[in-house]
Amino acid sequence: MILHILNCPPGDGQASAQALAAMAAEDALLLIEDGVYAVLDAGWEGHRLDVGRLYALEDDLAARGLGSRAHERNIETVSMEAFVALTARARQTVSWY
Amino acid sequence: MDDTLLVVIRSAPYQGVRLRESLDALLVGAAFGKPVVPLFMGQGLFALLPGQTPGAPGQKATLPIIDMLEMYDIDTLYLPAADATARGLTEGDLVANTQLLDADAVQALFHEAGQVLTF
Repeated sequence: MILHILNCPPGDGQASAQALAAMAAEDALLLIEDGVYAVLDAGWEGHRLDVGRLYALEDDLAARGLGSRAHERNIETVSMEAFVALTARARQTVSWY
Repeated sequence: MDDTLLVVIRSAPYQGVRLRESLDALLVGAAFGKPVVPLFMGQGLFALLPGQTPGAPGQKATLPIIDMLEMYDIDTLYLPAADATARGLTEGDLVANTQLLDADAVQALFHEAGQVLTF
């Protein structure tokens, strides 16, 4: 599993589309920093990822007033500890910014 | 393939220093004898247009570096076919040694690489 990490919102440049294009079926995507604004974008293609393939960092959601919004979508929220565990489980991490 | 360094190049020429830095990463990897694979995505495709001249004063051209990659055994410049289509580009519009990839082949490059650097 490759963990792709996205730190900018959909619609802001090319990163979010490129991250999705690079992802194979077993890969996961973690939203951090401004990437968590994707929870607000219902039309974003990333929401079509299966459950368990899309994560968002709790702290960054909370900091942006989005703490209660992630559950509206197929997004699993992760703590910093879980973030570390995810990267340890991944064979490779790839940052998209 | 586990030793392979995949360098993902996403910036157009003269758009800051990212394109130059990505090419530096390719050359450094190659100089250390590592197999390096360049993947041009999005605006990075514009780095592959032939006939580019130097930009404004202080802006060095990157095309000469692209042209000499072959000397470093970097024989193939990969790009997603969809990104070319989206920019109105065909293989014939680009420098030699480019290879267009379908979506699955792009994903495979990431999985075959031992290391990935995104620029």
